[in-house]
Amino acid sequence: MPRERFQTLTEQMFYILLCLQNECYGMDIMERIRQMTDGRVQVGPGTLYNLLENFMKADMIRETKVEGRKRSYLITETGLEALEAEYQRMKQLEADYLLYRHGIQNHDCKE
Amino acid sequence: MKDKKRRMENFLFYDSERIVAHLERMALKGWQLETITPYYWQYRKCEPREVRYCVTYFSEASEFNPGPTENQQTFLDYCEEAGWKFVTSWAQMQIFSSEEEDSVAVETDEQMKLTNIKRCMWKNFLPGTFVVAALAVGVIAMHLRFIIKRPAEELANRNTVSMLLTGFLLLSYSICILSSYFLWYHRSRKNVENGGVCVQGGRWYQKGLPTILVLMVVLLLYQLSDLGSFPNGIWIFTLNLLLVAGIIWAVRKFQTTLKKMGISRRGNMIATLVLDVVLCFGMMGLVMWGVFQLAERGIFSKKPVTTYTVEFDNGGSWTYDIYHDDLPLMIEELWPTDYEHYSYKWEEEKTLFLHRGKGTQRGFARSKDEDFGNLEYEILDTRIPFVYKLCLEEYLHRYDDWERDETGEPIRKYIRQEDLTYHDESVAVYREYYKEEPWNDYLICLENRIIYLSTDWPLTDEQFAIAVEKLVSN
Repeated sequence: MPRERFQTLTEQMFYILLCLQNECYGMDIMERIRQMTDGRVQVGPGTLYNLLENFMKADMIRETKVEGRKRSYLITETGLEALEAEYQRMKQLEADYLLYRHGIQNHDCKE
Repeated sequence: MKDKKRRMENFLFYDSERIVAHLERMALKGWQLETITPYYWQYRKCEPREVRYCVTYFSEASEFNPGPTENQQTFLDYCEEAGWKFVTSWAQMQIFSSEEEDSVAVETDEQMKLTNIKRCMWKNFLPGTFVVAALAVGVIAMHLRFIIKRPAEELANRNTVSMLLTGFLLLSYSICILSSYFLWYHRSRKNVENGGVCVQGGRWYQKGLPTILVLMVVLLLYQLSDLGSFPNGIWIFTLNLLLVAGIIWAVRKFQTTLKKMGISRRGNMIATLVLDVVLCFGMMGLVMWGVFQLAERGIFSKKPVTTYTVEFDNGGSWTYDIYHDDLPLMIEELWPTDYEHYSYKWEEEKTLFLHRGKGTQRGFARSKDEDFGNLEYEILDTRIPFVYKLCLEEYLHRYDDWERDETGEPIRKYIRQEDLTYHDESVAVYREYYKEEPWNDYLICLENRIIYLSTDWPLTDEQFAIAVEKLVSN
């Protein structure tokens, strides 16, 4: 089944939102994510453009500055909530993994 | 040595994987893509080398935009930043190349790529194809209606048959494109949902389209093959083709000129559409006017048309066209006559289904008292039993709805003649009757031939035998 829009985030979505906690030019996002993940996660320019457009439509980020053709963005409250929800989901995944794979109850993860 | 090459490429708009593979192969052979036009792709000679290509889609892009939109420019900047050089575009399709080995792919999310392609496809490619399919269905339905109503005339009419076949080819082409896309989309969606990538377009399409194009050319040649049968036909057909090509060229030129002038997308689209419609209707009008003018001057007649002016007894006059075609049967062979102003007209049409010849001999009386007689016949030849049956049924029941008696039976009908002096096992003869009274219209049916014969005067058995012999042996 296709994923409901932004109910869960892909790695690329997650890192773009994480990156935009600080104001950033669109075209710098690709390089910043590469540095953040040591090249493990790469966002292509086409995917980046479409994701920024979709995030804007969903009010998860906002445009802060337009300098010629350069535009900068910043995450919004909605975006932060989506980021947090994804983090909690991943924590839940980790807790389930530890419990059912190794029998370890991780209290930090269970909320 | 030529440093530019133009090729007609056969790719589906959405089949980015196959296009990329093709462009990379061309670069290895020393040909780099330069531009794409609606008619061909142009390549430039270069050093054979490994070049990475990327084909992606931008929904806001259009052939009518005066240049890249602001958003498109931002998108192009992102691509450039990532090491991708813009090569060319074709509507929403954007093509980039990169000689860097490690440049990150333009699309790194397959789900998003698929959604984007779907959005672009629904923008104009699919609606356009649906419109073509609907037009093809309309053309087929219209011509089938003609054929069902008048099979003997329409199945022998090259225009009707060509239009019908063109309709079927266009419909096949549209179905080929649509089914190929939906199949590709379905397979890609399943693959992407399972963590895979968008798949390549079906190979059968690549064979299907050329096959349809070859059939189109065969149809064109077939259309041309008959044109030699009437004088100047080839020139009229060539002129028509040139006019169509001229319209396509003019519309494209107009659109690109408006684009260069910086006219907005909407303005360009409206102006181009208006010009297209005006030129098409203008051309249709011009061609019809020209054909009527030429036909009036007898340019389609095998022998030059002369005229004959009849001075009526009441003082009036009328000028008639006189044809001098060779006829397989003439009044002179049936009755003695010294009338000198008969018009002998022979018309012939041939299609895959039916060969139809129509002979008419007419005299022109000055008053009611004069009667030179008229002779008319049609000869239909077909080897297709279904077509034979369809045509015979049409002739036999042509007057069914003309007038009926109180029981609902047609009063004008053909009745098979069993007791004729003329007798041939292989020939069935029908004669027309009106209220039980015989008229002078006959149907003479052979294995692969139907002859319709109509005279102004009743034929004696001997005259009938001569007529059948002449028309059967033609």
